[in-house]
Amino acid sequence: MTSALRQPAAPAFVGAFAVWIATWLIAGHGFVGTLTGGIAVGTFLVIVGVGQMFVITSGNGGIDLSVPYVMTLSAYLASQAMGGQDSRLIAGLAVAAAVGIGAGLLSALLIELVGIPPLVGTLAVGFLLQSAILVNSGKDSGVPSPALDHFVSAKWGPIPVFGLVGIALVALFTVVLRKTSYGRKVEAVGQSPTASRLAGVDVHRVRATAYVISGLCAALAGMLLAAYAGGPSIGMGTPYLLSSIAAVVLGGSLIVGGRSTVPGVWAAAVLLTLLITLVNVAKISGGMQYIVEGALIILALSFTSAPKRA
Amino acid sequence: MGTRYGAVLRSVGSNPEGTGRTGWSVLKARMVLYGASGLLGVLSGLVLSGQAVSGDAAISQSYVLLTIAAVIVGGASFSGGDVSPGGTVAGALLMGLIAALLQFLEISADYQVGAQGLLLILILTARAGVAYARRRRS
Repeated sequence: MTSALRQPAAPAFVGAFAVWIATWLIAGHGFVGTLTGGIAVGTFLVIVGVGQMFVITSGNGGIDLSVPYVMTLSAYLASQAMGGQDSRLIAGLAVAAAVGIGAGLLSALLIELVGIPPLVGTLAVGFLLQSAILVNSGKDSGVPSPALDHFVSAKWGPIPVFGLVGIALVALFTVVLRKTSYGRKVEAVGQSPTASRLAGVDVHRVRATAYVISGLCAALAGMLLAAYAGGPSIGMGTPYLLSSIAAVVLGGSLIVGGRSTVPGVWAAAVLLTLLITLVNVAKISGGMQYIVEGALIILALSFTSAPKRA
Repeated sequence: MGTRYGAVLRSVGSNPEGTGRTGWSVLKARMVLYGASGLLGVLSGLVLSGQAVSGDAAISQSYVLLTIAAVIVGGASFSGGDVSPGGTVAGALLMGLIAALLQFLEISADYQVGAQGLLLILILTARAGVAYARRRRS
């Protein structure tokens, strides 16, 4: 085996490639279109997944269950703020950022200051956001700005611009994670909070920042998804709860924290998106998609935990 | 709770390695626990479909979060090993009663989930505060 195949992200890339080829073989056409489409649509999941990855990597049982609600609330409030006008794009962006940072800060406060376990803390925040969604979705649902709509669906020839944005984000977050002091601290805190604290790292602040990053990513993805879908809807964030966690785990990051790979999240997000295409092309029932997704996560987890037992 | 195997099941939560050392199978105990959870889930599903008259693929989604909330509100510790079946029943009743109370106060059903989330936060914050005060005193 070459060293490239031993990278934690390798299975996700191989899997995405296999699903791409399988879809092409079954459909009989759309060799390029399947991949570019998967990369473009998968970018929403990439953004949410990278945020989730920061939380999971910072350890302490970290997980962000508020992601789908942050997405949906941000989609509604940002669309209402934009009101279908490009001149109010900045207002929409500001609202989305405020929703994401606010939700992330609240989760971080409950988990790091009060000491509530992440599973319950982000769940409680999710409950609060759910009510906020119900209250705010009743009036006009808002219209995303046309410029934003153009941004997520524009193409240069066969290449979707939004897919390139996703790849650029992967490069950016890889640099943040590998080259900045903050990124190194996130992994260090996930590996050993005690050693990190003794080395002078403010463990609570590092973990708290991870929740804020996750909230911000989810909020931006929600706003962009609303622009892509032509408007927000109540259940739009729901599939992203399981998928964002799946993208992190399938990508080769450890579910217990301490090791992460941004390109892995990208490959896994594309894999999961292409999987939906494959299920549709092969005319398998929609429920099968969840079974395949669940089986893939179990497979990925049994591979990553195997070396520990040896 | 009172049976010998119940004590084993709880010890798996608080000290799995110790349980394994005394000769009980941790894997078997975990299987019993997840099996029991699945069985009880099926039973409540039967009752629920009886109430809703027909089966509905999405009817149970809110229960994922509500069951965890009921256990935590009922006084069990999140790290495991410390359980309180009576508290869980009380927690579940409380979660249900909030819905009834909000309805009684003519507050929109939109706020129901939020109220449950807020209650969860308040109870856990209060519990953390009490634990902190106790530690300070001792």
